[in-house]
Amino acid sequence: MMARLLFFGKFSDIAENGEVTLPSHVTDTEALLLWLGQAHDGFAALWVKPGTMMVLNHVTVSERAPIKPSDEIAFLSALSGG
Amino acid sequence: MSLPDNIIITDAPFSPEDEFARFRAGLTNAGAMVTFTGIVRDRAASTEGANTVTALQLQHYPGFTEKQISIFAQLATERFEINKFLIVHRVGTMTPSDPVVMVAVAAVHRRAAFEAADFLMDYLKTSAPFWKKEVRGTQSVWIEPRTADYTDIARWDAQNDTRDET
Repeated sequence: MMARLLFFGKFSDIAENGEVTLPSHVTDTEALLLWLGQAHDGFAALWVKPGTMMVLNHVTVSERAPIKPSDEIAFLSALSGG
Repeated sequence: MSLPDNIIITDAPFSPEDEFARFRAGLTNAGAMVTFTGIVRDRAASTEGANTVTALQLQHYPGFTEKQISIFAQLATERFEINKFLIVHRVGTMTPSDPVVMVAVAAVHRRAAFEAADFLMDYLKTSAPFWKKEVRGTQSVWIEPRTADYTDIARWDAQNDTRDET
């Protein structure tokens, strides 16, 4: 399954934006977080910091949510403000 | 969802004077207009490391950032009964003295215009989806809101509480 992954703020220092083929077991956001934690050094440590957010198709998600083909999932570190 | 034309996020330099001229053109029902322009400083926001800023890099999440600002701007419109507003925000790489943000508000009376502009800036400084990095020579440092920025936005909640009690 293909998904579009986006990384903002400190996450952008760790991973690059792009279309990604997810492993077959990554079918929800919880599995995605585990997979990204294994794939990118520093991701898991940053994810648990205050103010981080996951946004699925422009909607903030705080609980496990299914991932569908072509979904856009963004990882936001603590906001800086403008 | 179409993006509002009064929330502009751009990687191109902008002129606050030109934006204000466009904003006020044909506006005859407002007795008060307030503008605020934020400028990139050459001094670091924190004392960590070198303190001379050579560039400011700002990220946003296209579509999502505009949507979040739009939700908050709607609150401001209802709360202060303003006639019109404009938000222009730079992203990308800027250098000291570049305008980074401009807010313009038009209202029937001055108090609503002042307060709405202040309210919108407090939101933009703390809660709008932007990420900024100061470049200080060979170093670069991610910036988070200052404690004072959070205190500033909390004032508006306190005002709500006071109103609830009366």
